[in-house]
Amino acid sequence: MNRNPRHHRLRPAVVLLILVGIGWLSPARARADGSDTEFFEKKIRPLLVESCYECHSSHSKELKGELRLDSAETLKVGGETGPVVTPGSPEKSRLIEAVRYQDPNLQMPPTGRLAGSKIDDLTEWVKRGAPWPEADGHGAVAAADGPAKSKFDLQKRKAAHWAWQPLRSVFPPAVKGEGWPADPLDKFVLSRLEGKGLAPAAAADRRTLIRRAYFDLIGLPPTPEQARQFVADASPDAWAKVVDGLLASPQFGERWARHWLDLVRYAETRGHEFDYDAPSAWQYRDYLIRAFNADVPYNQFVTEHIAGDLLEHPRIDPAGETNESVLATAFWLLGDWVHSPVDIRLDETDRVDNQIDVMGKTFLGLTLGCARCHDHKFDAISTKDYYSLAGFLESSSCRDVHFKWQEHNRQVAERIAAHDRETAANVVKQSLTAARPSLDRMADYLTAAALSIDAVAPGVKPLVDAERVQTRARHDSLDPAQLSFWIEQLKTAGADALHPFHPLALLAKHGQAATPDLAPKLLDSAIAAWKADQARAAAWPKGATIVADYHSPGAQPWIVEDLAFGAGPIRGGDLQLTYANSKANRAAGGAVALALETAAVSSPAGDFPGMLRTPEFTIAAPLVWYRVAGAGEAFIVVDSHRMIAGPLHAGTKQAINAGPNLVWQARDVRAYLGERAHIEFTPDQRSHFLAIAAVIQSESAPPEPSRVDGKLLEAIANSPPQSVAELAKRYQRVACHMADMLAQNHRGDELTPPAATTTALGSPSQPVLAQWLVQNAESLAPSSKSPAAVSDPVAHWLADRAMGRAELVAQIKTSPVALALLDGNGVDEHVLIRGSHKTPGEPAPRRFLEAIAGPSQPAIISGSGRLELARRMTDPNNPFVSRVMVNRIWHHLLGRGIVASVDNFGVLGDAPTNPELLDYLATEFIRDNWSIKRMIRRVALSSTYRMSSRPSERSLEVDPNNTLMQHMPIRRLESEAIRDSILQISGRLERRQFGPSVEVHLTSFMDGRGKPASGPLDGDGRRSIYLKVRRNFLSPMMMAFDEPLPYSTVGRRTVSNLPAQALILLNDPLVVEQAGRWALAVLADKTATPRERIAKMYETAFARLPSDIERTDAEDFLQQQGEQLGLAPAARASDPRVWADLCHVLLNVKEFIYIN
Amino acid sequence: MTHHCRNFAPQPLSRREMLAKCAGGFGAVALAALACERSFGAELIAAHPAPAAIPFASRPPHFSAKAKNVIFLYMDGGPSHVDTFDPKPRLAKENGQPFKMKMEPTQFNSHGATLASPWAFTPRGQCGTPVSALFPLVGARADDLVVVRSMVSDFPEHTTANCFLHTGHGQLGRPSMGAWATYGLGSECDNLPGFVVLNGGLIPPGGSDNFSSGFLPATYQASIFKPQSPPVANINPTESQPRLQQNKLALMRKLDRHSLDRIGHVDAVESAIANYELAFRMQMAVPELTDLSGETAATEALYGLHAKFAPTATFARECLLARRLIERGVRFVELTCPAIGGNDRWDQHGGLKAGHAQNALAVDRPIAGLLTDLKSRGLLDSTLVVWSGEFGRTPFAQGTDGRDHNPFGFSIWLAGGGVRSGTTYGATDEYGYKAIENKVNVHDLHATMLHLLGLDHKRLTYRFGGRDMRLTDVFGKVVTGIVG
Repeated sequence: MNRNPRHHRLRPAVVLLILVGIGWLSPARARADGSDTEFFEKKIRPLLVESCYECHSSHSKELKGELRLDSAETLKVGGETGPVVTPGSPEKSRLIEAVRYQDPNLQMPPTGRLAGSKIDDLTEWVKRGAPWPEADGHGAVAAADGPAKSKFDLQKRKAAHWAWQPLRSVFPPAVKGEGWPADPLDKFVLSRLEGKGLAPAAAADRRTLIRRAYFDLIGLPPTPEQARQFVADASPDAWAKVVDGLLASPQFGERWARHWLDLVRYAETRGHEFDYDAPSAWQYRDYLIRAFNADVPYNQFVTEHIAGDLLEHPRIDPAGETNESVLATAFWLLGDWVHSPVDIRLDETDRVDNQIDVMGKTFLGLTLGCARCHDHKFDAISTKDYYSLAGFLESSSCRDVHFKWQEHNRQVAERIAAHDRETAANVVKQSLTAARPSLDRMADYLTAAALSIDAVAPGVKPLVDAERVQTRARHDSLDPAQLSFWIEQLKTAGADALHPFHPLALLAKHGQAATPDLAPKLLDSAIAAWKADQARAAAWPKGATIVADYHSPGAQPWIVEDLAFGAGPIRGGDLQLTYANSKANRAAGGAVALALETAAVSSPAGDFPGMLRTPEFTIAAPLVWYRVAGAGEAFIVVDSHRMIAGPLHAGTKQAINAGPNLVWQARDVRAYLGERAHIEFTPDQRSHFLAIAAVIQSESAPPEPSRVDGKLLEAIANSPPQSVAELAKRYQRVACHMADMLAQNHRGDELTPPAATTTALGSPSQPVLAQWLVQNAESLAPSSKSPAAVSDPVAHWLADRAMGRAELVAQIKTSPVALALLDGNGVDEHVLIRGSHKTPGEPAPRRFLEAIAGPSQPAIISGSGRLELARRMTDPNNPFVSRVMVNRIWHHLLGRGIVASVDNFGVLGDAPTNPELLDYLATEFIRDNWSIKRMIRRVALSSTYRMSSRPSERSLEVDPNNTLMQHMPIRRLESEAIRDSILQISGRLERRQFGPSVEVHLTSFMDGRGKPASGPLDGDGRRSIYLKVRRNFLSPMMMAFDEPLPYSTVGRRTVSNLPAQALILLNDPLVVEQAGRWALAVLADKTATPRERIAKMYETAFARLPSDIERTDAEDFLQQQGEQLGLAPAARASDPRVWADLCHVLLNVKEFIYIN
Repeated sequence: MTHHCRNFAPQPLSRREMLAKCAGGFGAVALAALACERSFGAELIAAHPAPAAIPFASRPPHFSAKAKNVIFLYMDGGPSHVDTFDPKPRLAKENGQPFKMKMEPTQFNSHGATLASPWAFTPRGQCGTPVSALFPLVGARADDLVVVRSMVSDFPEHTTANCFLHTGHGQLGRPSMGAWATYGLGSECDNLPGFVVLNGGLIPPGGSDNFSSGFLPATYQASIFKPQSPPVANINPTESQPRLQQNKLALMRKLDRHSLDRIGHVDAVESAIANYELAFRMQMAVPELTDLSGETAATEALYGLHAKFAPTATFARECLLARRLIERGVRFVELTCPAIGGNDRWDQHGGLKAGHAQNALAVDRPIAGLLTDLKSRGLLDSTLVVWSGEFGRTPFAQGTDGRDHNPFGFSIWLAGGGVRSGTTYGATDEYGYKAIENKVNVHDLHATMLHLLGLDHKRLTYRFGGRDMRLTDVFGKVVTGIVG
């Protein structure tokens, strides 16, 4: 579905383009008398020069809107949106519209409105045909000397920049120092160093190394025991054992997931004014931790992010419970959400922009967002590329996915459905079998009933004499009770022209039953009334269009979340356990009903949650109509806006309370005419029953479907019976046939005319007679003298069934929910000229970047096409995905990426310092099945990683920025690692993994709208990755140490230096509290001497032993503090306050927050 | 350890001397301000030699300028321009009649009739700039003000408009203008942060992200001072005696020295060490700053420090603190409004008369006092004072007695710092609905503010995410008409 240009205000502009094209066919000619020239030179040219040329001429420093107004030619060509003048028609000229300030989005000149007389002059000029003097007529020449509009040449750009080039297969270079490399990657590093006459730094000592690796791999320091064990391990694979142990540690995922969260602007609230919750966002964080720990191949990981909801075989966790793949799609949905935006479509384009921006930087290292308003200024990315990606997102919507036990529950649902089908069929079979004797004499009953009703004037109830009924029954050997029942039916039918027995009742009413000859006129009129009703039902309001038609299965995409709506609509004529509105009814196993219309129906017994959504459509009528029954909610998601709060848009959510029968319900949507939307239907939580047959756009009400039974009409009208008895026989034949089918597990469509004729735009028939049979089967049973006696066996049988069903229901597992994408129907975006949704340009069909996947990619056939997008992204021929990821790994392990600008591989990014190494690693990465852990392992085991951080003198001269990796840089720890270290050292660290986040601790300095309750000071001891990230209430400690703001991709954090950092470590209550806690742990070993304690404290904080002088300084300090506190010398070595102060100092020594 | 601010310390110590003094001979080391070396805009690096010992060391402007500091008076919620600085007699004439211009969608979309201002306007000062009765005392300073009556914003909702006014972008995440100014010029004060927000009680929608450093180093984010003691987080030592903390710091210096000997002298680590010196000085400077006991009774009265209306007293304290911060060389000070119970900021969707009257009462005297005080101390010339909300309000009613958001035209004013005072600039239409003459977009305001500080908004860039980012994005034009 192509999106139509919305915003009616702009439609004229589109029309204008066409009109203008015609207008210019007859170029304006100056009037012969020269008055036009004079007018132009006197009034117009000076005005243009003064008010327009700063931005719209060949002399403009920066040409705005691609529009030049300095020659006849350029005027004719116009700007980005085409010509701005329609000669002779000021009202159709954008130029005039602009100077009149009619459109708030197009006001020229932008600094202020022209004087009224000037506007009049311009209007007059356009009215005269916008004449431009001949002398100026060298338009082409004038255009050529304009500002050189650098033409966007995608292929040229692609050819000129390294990053677009395919991965080269490179071999490790030969090096002189052959003893040094431990891995081929070292040769790439060493070769460069040797080229500059440099030698790599010496290997770091074991204690330095183990601290480095612990932080890099799991984000926590080693314990003294872990460090000592490595120092003492003389085996040749001692180091590999450390690295492998860390890679296998559950904390590995916590460390690397946090890196990833920086890329996807992870937060658990929506920011904006009230900072609303995104309640299940943490499920994505847990997904990441599990994925990194499970070493999910990176191409799979990327695919899951882009289209994890669309995989035919999603990745299920080892326990067989969790659909992991679908959880990854939450990354798209973690951005800011605005509530109550005045311009709802602008809000969407901003949201989508953030999604494209994050996706581009994270996976491709490309700043796609720069192509929103114009082709990228530097990179081979066109505006069309940008908007072709926007379509993928606008074709997908947001949902709460039930991601656990999906397959299990699907199987249970199938069994429940089969059970229900079987129960319904059996109930009907039993009751119809019991009713069979009556049905076999139906003609007799009908005839007798017809004779028992007197002809009376219309509107007066016929009196039926009980005695006469008895007599008649005896006479015809009929059951009097049954006969009474039929008489009642005919009475009802007589008053309802569409009742299946109406024709017969009509004849009876007019006394025709008593005469042998049927009055053909009466029967004809009854048949004509039925046909007229069918015609009425087929007469649809003008201009009505279908949004979703669940009357005809397969006519629209079936888009659902979870199992409430099953696998498809329930067909008219299908038996089902009733739309049970009460729990009691469900417990009893349900009553059986027969559906009249095909419709999407939520799980009749409310066993499963779920949602049904329509395809995307453009709102084209002031009203949307739903054909619904039951209770629930309809949510019109306009331009993907779902943060419904505040004064606007509350009306997009509407409660449905429609009762048991399908009815049309209207919603006023005129505020959103021209916008794109879809509707989500959710059943009421208590009643669980919601049915949706169709969604229509129409200015006036659509007709109710006809209640005429098409099969019955056929049977009567094809060869009209000639007598009442014959008509009664006809009824008996049809009814018995239907009863046979119903008792034999019929198919619903056998009871109604073929599905093809049944659409939302016309329902010519409903299986009314079959429904009547199902409803009345019990009454037709012969021994109905004692109804209880008949229903008892059925009731018992039903109760048994109910028990069987309850057992099945007990197997259902309730899944938690998580944010995820739900695929819709395909929607293409338009190129939005200058990024504005008010100026849509050409369509931009969904595809991946042209510079990577080529100009002629296969069209997307169904759905959003995100899976195709993921496949194109992770194609090994796309050099970005693999290069960007290995570069991130390098960045995290070695402090600086081979491409330092890790999120930008474009022209404005940094060039790779060692391009061969980058390609080597990327190639190896792919060859090694995209294993992140094995890539980290290789790097960690390399000699490069194991170098000391002490540079050589020569290196400082030759390569002061260490781009050649002569030594390991010294790095400051991230905020999370600092806090986690403090907690581990103090003994407070709670190693429990996963689950809802701990609320952020609020200080008295954190205030604002949407302020939450404060969390505990120490975050319950949980690692920092489990602290809640609230956009408007970010942790001051995390921010001070440069945790990035969650709004765009940040692959390389800034490392700032500000007094708040020192103040936090000096005075923050958390730090002081943990120092005290650590001191108690230090003192717990009563036998240790102060010296031993100090040594252990150094090992704990820095993974090394103190030097003599460090120890002496610390000892002196203990004395000094003790003295200051007035303690006796003997007491100083055991006073917790003194030791807490020493602990506090060690947390403030810079070595604590730096790794070397 | 007293304040060392150049504005009023006649002969400041040299940085080296000072560091030597502060740090007991320890700190005189060459320090790089930031570890993220390449992130600096190339131009800034060229224009500004390696910054000295403190992270926000003063840097020269692009060109000489009068304004050195900024006080930004943020009027949260959007004051109504047609009730304050932009008189529209036509509203009175057509009061209660259907509004004659086409009305754009608004936040509440509940458009009422044309609504006259409940307040009279009179010409004020020598210049005769009309100011409404809402601002009797600020009106008296009309000769100090340039009133811009043709402001426009791109956004009609609080959060986006707020964010736009603060950061030049409608979504959160970009650096605040205070962060940009401090990034561009550093600070003249070495014991206080360069960008301070005095929080009167109302944190604007969007929260502290409005004051963040965005992608700029965290160095440039605002420190939020609250009207409480202590005003800044973690500023008070937790030790029971000063000596205990001093002992700790002394040991820390020694141990830092030892570990530096082990790992080598690394700029970033040495900077972090120097940072403790600044933190230590801040522990002294902040209490001294907020101790108002040295102010005269006349000054206190001038600002309204003891006003009966509590919000006035709160804002008075903020304004006085703002002056004290400026005196100490702090580059950019923003004031947020005090909370007034029952009235939602300046955001009078209903109850315009009562709400605006109270909001104005809270700020009128303190602001007038601030202008008077700055002038009498010779600080107004070097201090740019900006008064602005995030948008204006509709000239037609919301309901019967409120006004909805109006980004199409509104008024702000600037004072001091080299502006063309005693004038007005630009105009809205005759209803005050839309700016029609000399429109000033928020980007233009930013460009002009930077210009007044001696910074070219197009040259003040920072490389992030593949672009040289600016406060003014790709927009902005210096409004020369308001520059003196």
